[in-house]
Amino acid sequence: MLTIADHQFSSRLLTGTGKFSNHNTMLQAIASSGSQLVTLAMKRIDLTRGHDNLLGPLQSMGVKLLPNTAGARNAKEAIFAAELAYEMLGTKWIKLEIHPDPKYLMPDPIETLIAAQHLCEQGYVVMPYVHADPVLCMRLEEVGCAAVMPLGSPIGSNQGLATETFLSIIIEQANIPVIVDAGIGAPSQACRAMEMGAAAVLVNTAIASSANPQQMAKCFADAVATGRQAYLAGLGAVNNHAHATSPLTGFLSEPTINSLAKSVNSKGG
Amino acid sequence: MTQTDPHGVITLHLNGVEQQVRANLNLAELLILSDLPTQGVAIVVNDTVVPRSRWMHAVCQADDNITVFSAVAGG
Repeated sequence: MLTIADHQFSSRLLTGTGKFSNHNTMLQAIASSGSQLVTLAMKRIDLTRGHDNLLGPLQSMGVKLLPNTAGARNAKEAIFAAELAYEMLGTKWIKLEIHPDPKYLMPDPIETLIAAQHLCEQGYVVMPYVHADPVLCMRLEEVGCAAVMPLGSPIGSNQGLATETFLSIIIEQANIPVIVDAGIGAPSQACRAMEMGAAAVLVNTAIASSANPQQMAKCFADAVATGRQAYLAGLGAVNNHAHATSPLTGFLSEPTINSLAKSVNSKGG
Repeated sequence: MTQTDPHGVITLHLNGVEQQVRANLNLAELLILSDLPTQGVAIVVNDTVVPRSRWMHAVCQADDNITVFSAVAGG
């Protein structure tokens, strides 16, 4: 079971709700993924377009909601967004993300740490989206974050685990769940993250942008489960040299084999 | 500048749109009057989040800048 704060999840696949072509497709994909922790964002209601009811169907599915602070450009705005989420959804769980740069959406580590410390002190269950920075992740753990969510590669890029070396260090050092977020573009990459010992992965774009989101969600669920099982089973060591899996020594010098070979040759001649 | 006319109508901004509403309207009433949902939303008045427990007691003031937020899809 994946334990975050005081909550347990049987699924280690978190999903996002963005970028789907419509709500029905999104709901079907989430159901297919088996995800129990689902992210969403917040926005000012556009009075000219009417209200789009996203919450009702998600709540009916019984998933736990994880609002994010997307759009926040600094700690002050992120803290405000967390307070907004608490009033809106009645949850103190917050995916803390502060990315002032719209091109690469790189998270601001300094503002993130400031906001995380403040929100943890206020009793929030803080799950910060950060670069794969082992030192920062340790600092975030020290201030009381419930999990860390280092990126694999830029948000929505589907580039996979470009930060694999650093993710390994984070996983090795962390005493809180490490959830690889952002950039995972294929089930094989999610599987790899889980094999490395990640507690969970968060996938959105790779599912939403698939030609068949429902099927892709199931593929990710299977990959995450397989990766986790492989991690628990224990991967074999990686070596630079070959190590034979079959006995090679003396094979051709065995008397029986030699006589068989002569027999075959004489029949063939 | 405060805009209250003799008939008890005030002007405020709701989600960036200028609105004229009766004076003494509270936030809970404003949502209903504006055909906005009362669940799954958060209200910010002049850059301050107003807790749901205070909506019935928070009376709209002239020139208030009121913003109603809701959940949307996101990763």
